Amino acid sequence: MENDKGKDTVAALGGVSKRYGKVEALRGVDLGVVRGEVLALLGPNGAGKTTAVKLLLGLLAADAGTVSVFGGDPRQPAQRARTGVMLQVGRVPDTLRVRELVEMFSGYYPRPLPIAETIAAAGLEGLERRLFGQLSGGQKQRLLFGLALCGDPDLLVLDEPTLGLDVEARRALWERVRAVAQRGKSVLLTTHYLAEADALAHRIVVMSQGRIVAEGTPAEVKAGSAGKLVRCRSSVSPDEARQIPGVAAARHDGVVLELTTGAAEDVLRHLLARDATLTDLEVSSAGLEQAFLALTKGASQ
Amino acid sequence: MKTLTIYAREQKLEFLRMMRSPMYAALTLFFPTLLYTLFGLMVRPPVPPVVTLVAWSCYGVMGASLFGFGVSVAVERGMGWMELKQASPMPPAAYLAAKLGACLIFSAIIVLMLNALGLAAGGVRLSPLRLLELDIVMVLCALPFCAMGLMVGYVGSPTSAPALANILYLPMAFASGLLIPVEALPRAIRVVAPFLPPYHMSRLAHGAAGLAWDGRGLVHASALLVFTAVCLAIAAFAHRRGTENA
Repeated sequence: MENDKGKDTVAALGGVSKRYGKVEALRGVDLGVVRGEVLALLGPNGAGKTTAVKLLLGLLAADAGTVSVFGGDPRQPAQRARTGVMLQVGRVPDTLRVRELVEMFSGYYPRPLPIAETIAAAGLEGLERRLFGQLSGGQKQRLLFGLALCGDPDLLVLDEPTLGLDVEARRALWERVRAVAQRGKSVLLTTHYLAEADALAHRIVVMSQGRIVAEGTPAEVKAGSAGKLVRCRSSVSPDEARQIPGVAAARHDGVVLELTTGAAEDVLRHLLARDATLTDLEVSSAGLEQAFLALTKGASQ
Repeated sequence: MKTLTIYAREQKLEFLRMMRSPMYAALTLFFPTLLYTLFGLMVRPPVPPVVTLVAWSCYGVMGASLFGFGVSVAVERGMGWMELKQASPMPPAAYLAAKLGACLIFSAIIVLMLNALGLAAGGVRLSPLRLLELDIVMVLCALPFCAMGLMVGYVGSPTSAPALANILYLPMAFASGLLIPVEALPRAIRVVAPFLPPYHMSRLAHGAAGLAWDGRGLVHASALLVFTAVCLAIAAFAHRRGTENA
């Protein structure tokens, strides 16, 4: 996959697997971020998005597969100097000031933005002397975004950047992200909001339970995820159902097996062939949000 | 040059961060001063004044390092701050270097504050050179406790690290003969004392201050080195386990 894109791929996972004890966080994931694009990793909690991000940042080591950023090991200083990072950080040391934190991170990079520009980009003008502990939740989140941006990186990695932001701050951050991409830089962001990925990304990769379940432009993914909802009583377990090609998500509420799929006919052929006792079959067209909700629920069970 | 600037800024901010944190400043600067005033100046123990000064200085240095290193590493690890810095192009060593530097600075502040108190009101009489020698030994002896703090920071969680540091701090100070002279401790504890780092630290300090001591400087210094190495090894092991499962 990376080969098709040649040297325009700035960051890539190739067949990467990662497990924590018994939990398989990633199962053979291929992922490539192309120069100048905003790529959204979309999926519910526990889908493996953060694990993918941490592997690309060299914070975790893969059990199998290859990880490369700008053609090198992400742990190398040269790659880190070109990458800006926003992680789900609970807190920053409370007793440092906004300006001090921006100066601290700007100092790490070879050609940082002017301090004032970073503070403006984070929407924190006038709060430079505020201690981090005195900021509101949204301001804290924006400061962390500023720290990712301050080095003027070629690759911006944002893990759930808009968590806890209000609508206005969210839109302002989207604007910033778009501006970064327009300057030919690349952005990888994770989110569990379909609307956010839709508004922002050139390409969406949908993850569920450590696998990529859909990939494409927002329009393509929406078409795929807005497929069908298949409900039936069956002896097929959700785990088995997920093995069927085309099944995006599967859950069992104790009585009814519920599948989300973009290829209902293929899935039905498989399902009926596998379980002759299947009853109460029901196929409905799932609305966009509903389909995504099903996907979310399916993975959390 | 660039790298040097990063180290210097990291150092400055780490010091400011700690200085502005009331918990740390109170715990590490205020308490040793208070305790020395109460139990060294107001109530004079029946030992030479320098012995009392050495004891509370050791106590202060231990606290500054154990809490400054251990608790802050555990907390910053827990809240993801450490990871964010790791993912940044910060030279990896700058983080710990800044913490180490800050602990040494705080240790020096404590030692100097107690010096001043002891000279002014504690009956301490030492030549400037002796005093300088004693202070240098004291601050250098912060290193093993920084290593111990680092171990606490990696073994403990943000919630358990402060408790862990306290569990190590007070009993260790007591059993090493800092609060009550070793000779006056119960037999069972007296046997344990030579295995505890503050015991060796106070022996070295006694030597530096020109007090009666056993003269086995090399033994005490080696004991502290071994202790430091063991703590660092445990910290490294806990760190590695942490990154694998994080």
